[in-house]
Amino acid sequence: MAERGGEGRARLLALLQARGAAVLLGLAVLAAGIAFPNFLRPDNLADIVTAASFVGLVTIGQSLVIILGGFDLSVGSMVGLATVLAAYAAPYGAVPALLLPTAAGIAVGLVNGSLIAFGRMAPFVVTLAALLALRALSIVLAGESMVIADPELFGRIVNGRVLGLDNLIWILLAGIGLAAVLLNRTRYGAAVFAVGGNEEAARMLAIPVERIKLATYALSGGIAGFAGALLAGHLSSGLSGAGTGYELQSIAAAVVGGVLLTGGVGTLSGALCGALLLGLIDNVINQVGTLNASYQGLASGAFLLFAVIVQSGLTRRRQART
Amino acid sequence: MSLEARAVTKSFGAAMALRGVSLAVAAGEVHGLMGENGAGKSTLIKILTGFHQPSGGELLLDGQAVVFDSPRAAQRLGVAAVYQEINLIPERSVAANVFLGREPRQGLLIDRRRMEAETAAILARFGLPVSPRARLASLGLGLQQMVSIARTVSLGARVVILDEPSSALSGAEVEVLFGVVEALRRDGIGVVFVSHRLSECYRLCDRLTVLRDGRTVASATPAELPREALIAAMLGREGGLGSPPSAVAASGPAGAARLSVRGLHWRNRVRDVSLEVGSGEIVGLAGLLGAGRTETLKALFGAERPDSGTIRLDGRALTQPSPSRSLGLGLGFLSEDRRAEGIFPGLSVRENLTAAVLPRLARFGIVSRRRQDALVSRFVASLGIKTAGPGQAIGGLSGGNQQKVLLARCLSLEPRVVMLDDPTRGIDVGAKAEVHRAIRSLAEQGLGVLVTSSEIEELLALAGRLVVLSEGAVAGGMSTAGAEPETMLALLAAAPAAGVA
Amino acid sequence: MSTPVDVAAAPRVAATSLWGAAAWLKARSVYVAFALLVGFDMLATPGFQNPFAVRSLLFTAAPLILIALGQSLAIGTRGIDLSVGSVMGLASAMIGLSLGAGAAVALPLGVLTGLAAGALNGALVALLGIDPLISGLALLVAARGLAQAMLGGARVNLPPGVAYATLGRAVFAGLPLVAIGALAVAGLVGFAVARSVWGRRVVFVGASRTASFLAGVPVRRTLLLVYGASGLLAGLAGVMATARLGAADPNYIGAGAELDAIAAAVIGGTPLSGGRISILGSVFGVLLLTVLDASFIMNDVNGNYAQMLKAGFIIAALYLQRSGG
Repeated sequence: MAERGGEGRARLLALLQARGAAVLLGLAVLAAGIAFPNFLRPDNLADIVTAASFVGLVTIGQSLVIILGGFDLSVGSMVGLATVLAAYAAPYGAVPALLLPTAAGIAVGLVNGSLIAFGRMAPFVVTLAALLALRALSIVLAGESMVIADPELFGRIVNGRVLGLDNLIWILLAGIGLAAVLLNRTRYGAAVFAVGGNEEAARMLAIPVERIKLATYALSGGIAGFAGALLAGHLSSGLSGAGTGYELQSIAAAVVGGVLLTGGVGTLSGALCGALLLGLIDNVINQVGTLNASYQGLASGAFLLFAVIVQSGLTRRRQART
Repeated sequence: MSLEARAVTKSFGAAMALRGVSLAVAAGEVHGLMGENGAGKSTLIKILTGFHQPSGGELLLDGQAVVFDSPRAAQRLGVAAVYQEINLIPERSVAANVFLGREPRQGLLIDRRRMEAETAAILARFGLPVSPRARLASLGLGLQQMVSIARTVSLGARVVILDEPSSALSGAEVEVLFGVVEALRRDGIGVVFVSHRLSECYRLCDRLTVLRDGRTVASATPAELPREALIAAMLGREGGLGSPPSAVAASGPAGAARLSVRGLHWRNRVRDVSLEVGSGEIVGLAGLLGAGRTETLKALFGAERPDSGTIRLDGRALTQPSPSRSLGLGLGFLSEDRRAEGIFPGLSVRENLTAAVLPRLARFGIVSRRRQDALVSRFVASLGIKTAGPGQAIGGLSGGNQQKVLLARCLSLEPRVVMLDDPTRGIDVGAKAEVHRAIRSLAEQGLGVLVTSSEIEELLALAGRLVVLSEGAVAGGMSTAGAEPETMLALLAAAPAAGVA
Repeated sequence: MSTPVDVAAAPRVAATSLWGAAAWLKARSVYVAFALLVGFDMLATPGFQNPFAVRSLLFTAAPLILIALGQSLAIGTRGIDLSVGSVMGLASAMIGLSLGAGAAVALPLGVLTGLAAGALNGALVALLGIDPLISGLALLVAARGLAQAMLGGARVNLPPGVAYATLGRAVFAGLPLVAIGALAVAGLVGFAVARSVWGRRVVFVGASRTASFLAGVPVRRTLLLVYGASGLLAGLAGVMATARLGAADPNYIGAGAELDAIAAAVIGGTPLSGGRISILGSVFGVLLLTVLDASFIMNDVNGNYAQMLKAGFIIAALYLQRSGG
């Protein structure tokens, strides 16, 4: 009997871990709606999602890497580099402007992934070095900023609307959906969970661990590159400083959304909730007006720290039951 | 399908791990593989599963000679092992684990419904009360292991090697394991069952093969090979056994007890162990491999937190034991696993020897190098440690000298009682004699000594009295005065006092 | 795996075989690399012989030395402290926030802020059992965010004052006071590692956690103190960097410094696998990286190219050191 009760509680704890961000998000929307009369207006809500879509996209790749058992600190700088590359490619049309940064992101991810998977180096060392190098490269290429000469077509794709919603929202939702299918419905996704959950066992079970790592870092880099291209379209320019701090915000969003930094556990819908929660906090900070935008870093930091502590407690309790 | 190893030998450099092992498993047969430490079981398993290649002899599948040049080759031909440590993904569902890497698909996507249905069918075949959707970590250790077996069989294994499947399981879980093994037998799958628990082997196995020193020394049905003969074969005493000692009276020390233990429990590995060690006494903790010797010592020392029991040291209760508390109260412990739990690799002899006693060699938190070296040279002299100097890296010492350094670490705190877990394991004969001399001189100084060994002769020679463990419980005690190895064997062979798990 | 670095025995080994010579060189690669780089700069780099150039280098190196010391301790226990850069920023923000109370309050407060952050990190690692990589990452984000929030994201210039000027510009016997201070702290930490009970326990914990536990080493307390010390040193480093800059800057101070600290420690012979700490090596690791930076600048390499080259150098160096030898 006691065992059954314990199992129920373990399930509750697991649910809390996975869906805590959704609950928090709901509560936050409710509270903000009561506190700020303008908050619940549809255009404000849409603005929140649009503004969060860049970090949101980056969070997809970041979540995959964290579930794999690593993390990718290079994504923020990759976004910056991608905006610059998009600005370079924009004169040749919208397709190159989207493809070139994405390809560059994949290339960066392949370098990161090779050093981590085959070079057996620590992910934080490799991706931190990439963070510094890519930011410097962006500045070399663009100086402070580069204006996109003819933003027409490219901008229309990025900033247009379909069925009353910004394209960026559709892209974010499509990205989450695709990635969720990839993670939960393919052998690749199952392997990502396996490598993050128990790398040694995954190797024993004949999972090609190195190739999975390589692919996942490449995916993370590619998504960051794509998000950067969109950001360039959104801003009509390439900014070498764009995306600064995205690496930390995306990690915070994923972890707040129930992705365990220890690897092997997490959902993309949770990560999305985490990203929206952080975006909502940004929005509220702006609405208060007296608060400075610099509180955004504190909010994600505090949430991350809180989530890490709570998760370590939950994980330990769940393990204690087995 | 039948699997046979014929006169297999294996050498690693100069060391012969297997000197001629034969083992034949028929389809649907449960074949017990037994032997003490170093008998060659793990090497044989690694050869059967393709991790090692035999140096001589051959493997036959259904009578045809085969070569397993990799674990994958062995698996493809239907031979796989399930180890005690579970090599699955704890946070994933049972179905995901069973089908990891070969999930049924529809187009590019995993067909989850089919995967769960097929998993359910496999689980039902083994009678496992588990939902395919359950998170693996939410199951007990035993069921996780059964899932591991189910995965192996569903991969097409026709011969399954179960490496110590039961040693971490509780009583109820062992019953589930037995059910699964019966199901394997019914399906015509050959099982090699490696276990230290004799009663399980007798209950389950159709045939028993005993290894010793890399050779097959016995292979027979349980009826042909009674318990005593089996133990005699494992320990190399085919001459036969004596009768169990009539008097189990020699169960307490002559003088006042320095260490007294009552009702010690730790999980299902240490069950109601009580013992006493007197001043100047050397007590041997005897038992076959897996009887709970190491676990008892670790629970006493506080390296594992015991579930219940009282421990007294010179009359003072040791509550909530932890290594630092135990050491502080005068209870020393030497681990059997020198590499993983003893030495600090890469550090010097001086560092290794004085690691535990540093605060006493320090003033205001600064260690006195002079006092450190004085202590080191005292022990180098008294234990005969052969080292180029206190600054030599411990890795450069022979196993015996490393062990003496660790013994010195244990003694540096001037303990009242020392517990030495197989202190002569893996060291040469000369060093062994020196360690024995050191242990005896400890007793002469009035310390209580609790010692284990995997060799009977050593225990009989060293200890004044034995406490015999069997399957985690005390099976009896005996004085070693005038005792023959055969007497102890008889005690080992006697049915365990506390019942079978 | 365990190359015994017995200084007395090493030359003998070196003399006996080429292999030994290679190992001998590898164990000292940081000093060799430093000597080669300085030699190159003396010959080829314009302006390097100018004492002011050296002085300016040491001003930059001083705070890095401090965080490399803390990092070496953490890595020695087989852990890591990713928070050091952000904690420097946090200390800087604290100074900026408390300028009104005067330097006598602001500066110690900055140091104490570092200690508090380190204590939190230590508590997460030692008491809650969180992987130091994870707790450090969380703290990296949180401390930087808090620093930015405290100053509203803006730089706050320090008022003129003796204390700030002393820390930021004072020179004694040709050397920056802060560099002398950092080297003194390095000497202290080096002594503690070599001779104190705690210092030896740090190494024990890194060499074998299980053996330490069984030998009665208070593992948790040791770890708590390691991360506390690392935070304290990062606080001190933040104070130094702030004084040098002449402003409290929550964005700039300590940004990316964790990579420099880790690289310096590992290049200096403190392997990520733990169980060995080389304080002298870490100091030279910092000097090597600082001189490398300066070499780029003085040879008119674009600062951004320099940063890319340095990132590549760090990756290459850590790749070569990764087996722990």
